[in-house]
Amino acid sequence: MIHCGSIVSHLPDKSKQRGSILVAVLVILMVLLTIFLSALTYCLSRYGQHIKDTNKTTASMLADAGIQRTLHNINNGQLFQSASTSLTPNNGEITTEVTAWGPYLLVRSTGGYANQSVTNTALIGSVPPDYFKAAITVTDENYPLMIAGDSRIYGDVNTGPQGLIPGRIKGEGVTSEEFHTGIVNIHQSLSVPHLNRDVLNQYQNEMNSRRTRIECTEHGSKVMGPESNVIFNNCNSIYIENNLIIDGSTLRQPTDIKSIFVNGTVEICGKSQISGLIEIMAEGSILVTDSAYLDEVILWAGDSVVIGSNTTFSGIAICSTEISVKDEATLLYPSMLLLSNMEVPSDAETSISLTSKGLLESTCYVSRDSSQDHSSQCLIYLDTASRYSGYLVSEDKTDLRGILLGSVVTDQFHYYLPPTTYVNWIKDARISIQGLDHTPALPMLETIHGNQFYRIIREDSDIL
Amino acid sequence: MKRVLKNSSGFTIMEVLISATVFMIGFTTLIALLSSTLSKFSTKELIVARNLACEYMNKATIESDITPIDTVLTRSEMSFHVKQTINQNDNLAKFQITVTREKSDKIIVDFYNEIVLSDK
Repeated sequence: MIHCGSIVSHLPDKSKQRGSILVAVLVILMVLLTIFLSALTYCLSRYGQHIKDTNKTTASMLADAGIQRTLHNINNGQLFQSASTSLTPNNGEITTEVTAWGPYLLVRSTGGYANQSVTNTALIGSVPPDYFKAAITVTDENYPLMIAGDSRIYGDVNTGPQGLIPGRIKGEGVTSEEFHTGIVNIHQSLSVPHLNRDVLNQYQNEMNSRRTRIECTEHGSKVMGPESNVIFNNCNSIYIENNLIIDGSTLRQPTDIKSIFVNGTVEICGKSQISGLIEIMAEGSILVTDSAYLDEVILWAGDSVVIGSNTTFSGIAICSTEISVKDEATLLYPSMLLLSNMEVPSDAETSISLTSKGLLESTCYVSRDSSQDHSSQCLIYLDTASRYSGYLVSEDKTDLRGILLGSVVTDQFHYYLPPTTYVNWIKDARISIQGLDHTPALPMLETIHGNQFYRIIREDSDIL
Repeated sequence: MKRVLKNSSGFTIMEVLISATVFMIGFTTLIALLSSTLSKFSTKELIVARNLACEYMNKATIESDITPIDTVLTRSEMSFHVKQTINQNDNLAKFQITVTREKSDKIIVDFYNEIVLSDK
């Protein structure tokens, strides 16, 4: 092989040497130009990135401003505001939209600034009314609140006119004289705000509207595994003709609502991770099991919702008959379990049953239709060995046997020891309002009592 | 001139390198001028101004500190004019924070946000 360099060095003709110099100079020039252009491109792209970041921060602030503005309007009585767009003094744009998300309101706000656009979402719930500062609020006017066994109450108690009395069950009275630490406030008539049904009805209407706009239909049953999320990614509204199993899937939906309607039952298992604005509505039951993780999601079941087997749930479960949290299931703030007795026979027994030994950080709400008579039994049950942190609100009955760090607001307590049902009794329960270390997320309550609403801040905000 | 045209032996390496250097200096100056026209502010200036605005916006939105501000601050050996205007309607406070170079009307950062003030 002959090298160019050796040829150049051995050429005797001087005129040809000049040509080789020109080539060398051109090469040097090319190298210098390349280095220079690279440096220039790098500097310009860095600058462009910083401009983009600044504009994105500005857009994000505008999105946040939209949420604040909407919250202000909600607090002034405009619960359902139609989508609106407005310009800001810094030449940005804010677009806001309010929808119902279960018993909460969901605000979606998009900030636009210099070709950058950021969407933030926020859940809006009620600021806890003052009676949630007491350990117990019981509204029944006919029966005194009876305390028995090894019960301890740390905090104030609001009762009806019959007051609070230590009692005996099968001859045994309270085991400690200091069974209550706090003040007993006796009210002739105790009125507490109830769940705002308009919000829940609005959610149902919106959900039904989405149901009429099905984009994908799966005939028969469907298994959604780790690799079969195509249907989920491509369709906003999915209908499964039979049953659905979500096994090992990771589904995430940060800003737009995605709906899955199932005619049969749903099982979520295999360490599935589902988060964001996803609603799963089943005509049958919904079973969450096998270390699944659900955040923000709404589970709406016609039959029952069962959360069990090492699962973690920080979404919203809505059902009209039974919600059960068992085994080692974990509920995390701001999870919400709502038993809403719409379309249920008046003599039916429905319940939220908390028997899990795991961390239970939640808000449970039993909403009772005012047309139902007292022969029905809608209750919240907290098992002996369970420890719950948050609010328990029942427009009907509560059977409290475990440890409650928080506040319970109920129409009546309920204790059953075969063959006797004890009306408005608590036995062997521990309730401490001082032990509550966070403000649980309450749903939208009736506005006639002048309730205030606030943005529920999530720990992983703002993916929402 | 006649001698140069008659000289068909080309340029020496020194001639070419000197002319290339002159060309590069001219080209660099031109591009620098162009980029400074395109980007009104340096990257460092932009970052410092944005951080400054964020600092004040956080005070307003997180700590509900709704004091109007009109001041000159020095950060990273640069001087900025920070102005926060507040327009409060009911309990909704509207903030606008602008950061400009000192003694200049060129706005580097222009943030806007709103916050619902607590009744308590």
